[in-house]
Amino acid sequence: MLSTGETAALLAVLGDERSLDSHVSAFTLTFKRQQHFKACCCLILLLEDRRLLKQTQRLVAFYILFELYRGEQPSTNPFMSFLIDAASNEAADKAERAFLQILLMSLNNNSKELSMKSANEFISTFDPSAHKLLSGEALKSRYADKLPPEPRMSSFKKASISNTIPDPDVPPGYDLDSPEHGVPGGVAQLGAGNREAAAAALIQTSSLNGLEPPWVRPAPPRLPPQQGEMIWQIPDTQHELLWDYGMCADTSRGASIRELINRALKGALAPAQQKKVLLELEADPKLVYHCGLTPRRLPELVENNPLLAVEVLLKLMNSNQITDYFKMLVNMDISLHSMEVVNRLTTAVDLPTEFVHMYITNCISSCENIKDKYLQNRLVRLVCVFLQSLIRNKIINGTCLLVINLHAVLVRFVAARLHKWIVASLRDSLSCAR
Amino acid sequence: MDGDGDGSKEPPQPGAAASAAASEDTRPQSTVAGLAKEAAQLFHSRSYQGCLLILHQLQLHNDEDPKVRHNIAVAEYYRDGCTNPQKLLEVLSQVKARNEELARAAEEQQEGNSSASTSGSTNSTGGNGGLSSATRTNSVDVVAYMEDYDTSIPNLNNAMIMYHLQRYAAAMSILEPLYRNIEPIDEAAALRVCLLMLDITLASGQPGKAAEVLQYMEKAFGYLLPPTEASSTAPTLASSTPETESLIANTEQTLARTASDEVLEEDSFTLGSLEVDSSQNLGSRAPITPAIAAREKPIPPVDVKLLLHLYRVRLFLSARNLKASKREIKSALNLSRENMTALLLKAQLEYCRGNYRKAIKQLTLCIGRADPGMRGMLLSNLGCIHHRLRKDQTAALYFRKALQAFAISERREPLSVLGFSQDRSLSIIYNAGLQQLSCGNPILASRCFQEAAALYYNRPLLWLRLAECCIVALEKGLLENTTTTKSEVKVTVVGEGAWRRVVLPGGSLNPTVVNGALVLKVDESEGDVQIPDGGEKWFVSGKSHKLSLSFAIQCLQIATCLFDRCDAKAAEAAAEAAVALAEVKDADDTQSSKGGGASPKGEAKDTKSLVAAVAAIEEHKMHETAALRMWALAALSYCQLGVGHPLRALRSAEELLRQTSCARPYMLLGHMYAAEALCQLERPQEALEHLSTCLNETTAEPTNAGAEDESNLKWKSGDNSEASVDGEDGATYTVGALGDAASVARLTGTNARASLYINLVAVYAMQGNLQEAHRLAQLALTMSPANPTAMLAAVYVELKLERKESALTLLKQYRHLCVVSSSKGLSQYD
Repeated sequence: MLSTGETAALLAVLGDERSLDSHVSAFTLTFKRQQHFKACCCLILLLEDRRLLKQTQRLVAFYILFELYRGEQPSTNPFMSFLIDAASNEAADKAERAFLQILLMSLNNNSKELSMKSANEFISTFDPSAHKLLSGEALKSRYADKLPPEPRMSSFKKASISNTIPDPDVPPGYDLDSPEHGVPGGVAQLGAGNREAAAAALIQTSSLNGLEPPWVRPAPPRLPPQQGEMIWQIPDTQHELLWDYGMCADTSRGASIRELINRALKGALAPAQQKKVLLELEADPKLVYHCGLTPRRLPELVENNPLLAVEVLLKLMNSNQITDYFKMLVNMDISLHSMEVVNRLTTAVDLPTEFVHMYITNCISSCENIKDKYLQNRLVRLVCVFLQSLIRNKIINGTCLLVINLHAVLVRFVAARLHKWIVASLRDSLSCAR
Repeated sequence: MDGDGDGSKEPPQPGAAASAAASEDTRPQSTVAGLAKEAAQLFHSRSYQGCLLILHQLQLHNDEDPKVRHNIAVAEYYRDGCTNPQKLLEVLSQVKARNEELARAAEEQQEGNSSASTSGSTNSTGGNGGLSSATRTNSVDVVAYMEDYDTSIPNLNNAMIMYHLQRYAAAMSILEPLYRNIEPIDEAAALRVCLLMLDITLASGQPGKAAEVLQYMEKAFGYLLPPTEASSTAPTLASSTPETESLIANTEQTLARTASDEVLEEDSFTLGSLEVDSSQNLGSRAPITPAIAAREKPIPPVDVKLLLHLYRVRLFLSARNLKASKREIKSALNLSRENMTALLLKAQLEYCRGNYRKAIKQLTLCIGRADPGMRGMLLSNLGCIHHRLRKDQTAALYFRKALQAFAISERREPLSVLGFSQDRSLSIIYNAGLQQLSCGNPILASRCFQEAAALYYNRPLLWLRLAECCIVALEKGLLENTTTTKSEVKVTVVGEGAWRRVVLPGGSLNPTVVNGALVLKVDESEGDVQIPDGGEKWFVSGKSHKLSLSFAIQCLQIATCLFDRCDAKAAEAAAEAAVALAEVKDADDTQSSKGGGASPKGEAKDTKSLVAAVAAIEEHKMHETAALRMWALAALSYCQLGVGHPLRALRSAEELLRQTSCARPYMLLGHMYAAEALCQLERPQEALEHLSTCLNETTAEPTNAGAEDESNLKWKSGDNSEASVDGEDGATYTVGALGDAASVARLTGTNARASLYINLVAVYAMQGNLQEAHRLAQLALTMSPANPTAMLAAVYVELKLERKESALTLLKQYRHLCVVSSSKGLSQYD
């Protein structure tokens, strides 16, 4: 974390025998303000390893951590939780704990009793019985206001532990705590090692990240080439633009047919004219679309030239306008001609059933609504024959609900000497049922 | 009172061009028509200059005639070598507008006439006048009825240009109304409409529509095809003429009858007209007679048949129905041995069947006589084959050569529309990208994909590939600011002697974005992700975007959006296709039960295979989308964990687990990612649940259950799916969407269980249950002693249990330990 020079300086700050305050001032001299935090983190690293620093050095380090942030009001000491944990650590040295607890108490009353002493003095004059060591919970509750709230951090970080393991390279049976070592000027023994060097190297190589619980995060599998993902090239078909042959073309043929159709809308055409129209329509299958007939005009054609209407409709069966034409047929008033047209259509092609049904429904309502008795009777007769024809040609099912309804209506006309027709139609209907 | 319009009023003259009589010019009608014919001939013999001269003469007659303007524009376009489509498009839209204006004017005029006449007539039923306003037809429909203001040709030309400019959606929107109302359009144009529809639908992935058009074409243009084995059109042709005669006979008869309509007594006659029985069948859906007016220039019938075969081949190939494709290709090649498209399709067939050597031979034969544009395509196809053969260097070389070929041909001529449509550089770049990715060069691959994105931005697979590039780059350690997964444990030794310490790797072992420079606002609220400045502009700027995990996330989100967008449509299409298939099967059954005749069988079989092909394609698309979506979710969760967004990662993982038919390896991934996210969110208990579920599922099945999942996701087709038996070059090429074998192996069997144990160790440790943790760590270590994470997990547990010596022992026993000693010369200390 720190450079080599800085590490050395840090260790020097910890080293000499001085009053605690002078250690702090040495520290502030060595490190600029923005480096304080980093330096303190290194101190923590060293402190976490229980044995690396001498006891006096530990006390000095603790003191620095306290003092540096004492003046920072209103913020609290960022290392407070560490300090409290250290103070309540059962495994730690009693002197250390007492030292820390005195420091903690001094936060409140701002006393500086320790500042003039040196660490050595404290240790030598320490009397364990004089201090009552508080437990961890007591400390935490007493200084709760100084502690920041529990930070939210991932459970990984929470469960992280120190990633440094002491691995003394010593012969078996060696006692690490014996005071034989570390005496300056003494004979270098096997397994002696260099405390300061180790401390320095530790600072160099590690960071505050502890060892988190190892986790396996498998990468998603590779996506293999999909069906048709590699694009196989084939040449486009060349579409050449079209020339408009209709330019300046002779449209007299179409015009004459249009004229004939117009006439057909207004009155019956002579047979020769009808024949001509039919021949022309036959000869040019597209002509029927351009002959000027629209669904709106269909009723006129039906009334005046029903057979021509049938032929034209047959030719238009494939167009997508045919439904509009059917709608017009259904909606126009029921008459002999329209019935004839529908009848012929049903024998020629498969009309949609709903169309036929709608037409029959229309018939029913027309029968009921005509005021003129004469016309009504006539219409009823026509409807009966129409029904018969439909049933015989198997266009509709004689027993279907619609037909039954229709017969129910027609039965009312039995009195008007129409029973013959109605009975005939009924008979066909019933024979259908068998 | 206006009587009927018998001769007293002229019907309105259609079109101004034909009305030479209206202008003061003394040229008679016939000469104008003659000039027009001459112009047409010159156009078709490609002498555009002469053609334009005549057209300008015609224009002197009438400046505004839209048809003349149209033909002039087309001739000029060809004269200039198809380099200026924009001008042509403008003229076409003007022509269309003008036509509609004129049609509307004429229609109003006609309406004026007809309403004037109907108001006076007495015998018309009263309903008409009232209906005239109620059922007023759309003027656009009216235009279709007015031959002279017909806009079908300008529309068709417009659609063709759009197609060549590769703007398929625009072309389709113009073509669709034409196709729906195809009956009034004359033969030759209708044929071209159908052919263009086929091209567009096959190119834009709408096989259902393509099949529909094919069926329509067979019905409508069947007569164009020379009579082959099962042609059912011939007999109906013959019957049409006698029917026409009988029709006229009937008409005359019934006309005689209706004359006595009004008389009540003559009921029998009246009603006789209604008693038409079904024997007088005039033939349903009268087939189109071959009497085309002489003015059109029909396409030679052989060409149409050939084209239809080729389209069918393409459809069957996308459906993987290799038998049917082979049949069609044979017929096509019988018709024409030299057709380049047919030969390429044959090569594609061999490629799909796995006969790579045959395919290569076929392509190399073609290269000899190909022009440069074609060369590029052939080289690219050779690249595809070598990719399948796993010959990476050769494949990459071929793609490079293909791109060079296109670059050369582009430099030679100025850019024309035809050249543009032939230019396949972007799709070849995509292929090259795919090639590089499978070789393991993610950075190159990503550059290719980013360039191809100009064309394929609507294809979710492209975005998935870009994300994959990022992930592969991550694994190779090529990403900036991101640590990678370590494959061995590196420890540092500090100090000597009694002060020796071992420093283990700190932090997380998984890839993390280290530097906060990749600015994503780390707020876990549901708000939008803040994309770094300029991040979204990379499409426009043309510079390639740097790979990173956040870029991967963007790509994956784009892909998911595209999936969502297509989902509804795809489900619809698949449902329709399935219904159609069921219908055809029903019809087939009823036919066979009735002992159906021989002649319709050929057609019905054809239809059936087409419909089956479409159903297969749609179904496969749905499966593929489901599998890709699974991958996308897994990758998204992974990247979000890497970037440090546990909440989002959790959401993605949960969605992954919710997918129906989620394959086992993906279930594992889902649970693991969810567990990690939960741990990062301080919810280790739920993480434990996830991991336990996963463990139960893994131990329940034997270790090789992974293989069956993979086969479930492979391509399922109706008739004939796998590579043919005689597929040489047996490089087993699995076209499954699951994952390639090596990477999937990590996620199944022993490896999976070991990973699960390791993660369980972590979770138990977080909860303080060190006994369980210890037990599982030992299990994991025995299962896979070489796994660095397992070893570290065991060490961690030992340290947590304050057993430093056993931790050290474990470390020292581990074979793949990488020890670094910090021997910094601290010379001040001796």
